[in-house]
Amino acid sequence: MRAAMTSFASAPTRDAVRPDGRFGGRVNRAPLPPLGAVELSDEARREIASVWLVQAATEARVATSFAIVRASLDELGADPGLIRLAARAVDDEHRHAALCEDVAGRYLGHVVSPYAPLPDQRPDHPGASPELRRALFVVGQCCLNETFASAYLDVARRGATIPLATAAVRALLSDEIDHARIGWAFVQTLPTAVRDGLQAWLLPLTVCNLREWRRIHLPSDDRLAAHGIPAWSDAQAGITEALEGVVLEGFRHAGFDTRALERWARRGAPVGEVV
Amino acid sequence: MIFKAPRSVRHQLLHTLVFSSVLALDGCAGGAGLTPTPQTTSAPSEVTVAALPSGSGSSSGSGAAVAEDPEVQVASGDPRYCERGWPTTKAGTRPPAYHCTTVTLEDGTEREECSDEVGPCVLR
Ligand SMILES: [Fe+2]
Ligand SMILES: [Fe+2]
Repeated sequence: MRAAMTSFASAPTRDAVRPDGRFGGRVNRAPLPPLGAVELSDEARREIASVWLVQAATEARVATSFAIVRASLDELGADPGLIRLAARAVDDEHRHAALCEDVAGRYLGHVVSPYAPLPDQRPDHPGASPELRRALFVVGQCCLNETFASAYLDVARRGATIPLATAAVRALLSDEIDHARIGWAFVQTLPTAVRDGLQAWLLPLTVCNLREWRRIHLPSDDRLAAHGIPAWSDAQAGITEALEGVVLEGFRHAGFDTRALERWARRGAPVGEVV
Repeated sequence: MIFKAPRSVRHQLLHTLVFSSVLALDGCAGGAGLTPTPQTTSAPSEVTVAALPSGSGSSSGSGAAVAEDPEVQVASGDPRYCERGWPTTKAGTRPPAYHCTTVTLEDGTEREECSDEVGPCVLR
């Protein structure tokens, strides 16, 4: 009983969650279910836990990305609803870090050490004006990165069978959808000058953001899919579907010329060297 | 390309992420500088990407970017195609291109240094 009520996230990571966040300081709407009786070797438990712990680090890093997005929306005079969502997204990503640590800890059976923080990373968008750069930040992080994240989680959700993993993936997905919507609503409210500037950047922006997703490391098979960790090829297939069925359609819906993107996608959407 | 997905049905996330996104807006009229963009009131074309003839499009717009080709742009040294994108939130089994090595400092102590650098940007 106790396991169902206790968080296995580290104290520093839980402390980063704001009391005025989406769930009033709680990490999730409801506590995650216990792992329960699952036949797993110690090695498998460690492997699954390490993936969820790495994800805690990457989720937390995106809190920094959203601080930039939030400031950018503010400086652009964007709709207040979008600014509020972006501000909340900063805390969402800290909650996600705690949620991922919680999952990792449940597989290990003890509270985890805090994730190892990753260096901040953001694009520079060389040559863009300050105003255009801010818009590019919003489109890159929200329309592209969070849409690809949603597609990834959609694949993970379909493969997850362990209730703990299913609940965690669903919780993450419902928030990432909100984060992507910031971008898709934003591109429908652009002044003409910013829109024209963005048009010329759509292809490089998409190439560079997709490249990051092509570089993620996942198992070559679906042996961990039940635990919310899809095979690399399945994740990439879902991301490719989203590129064509959501990103291209979304830009088209917002009135952009997507012909260059379509031609690139038809050729297999090459992104260059994948390390 | 190995990732050929069936595109005959509209992606289930399209409605959730894109069409429903306007619900996130407080309202645009009178906003500080950002006004609603005239956009297609009808749903996006059902024509699939694969069915489009080369050089044609189902979209509107100025066409300024139509001539761009990532391979040409990279070959010409266009830095827009070679920068890092936003970091992903789902790194998988380890962070992308996050390589750690142990280096020996001048005083003989060892320290782990991690790099997030990527290799040259060569489209292929
Ligand atoms: Fe997240
Ligand atoms: Fe997110």
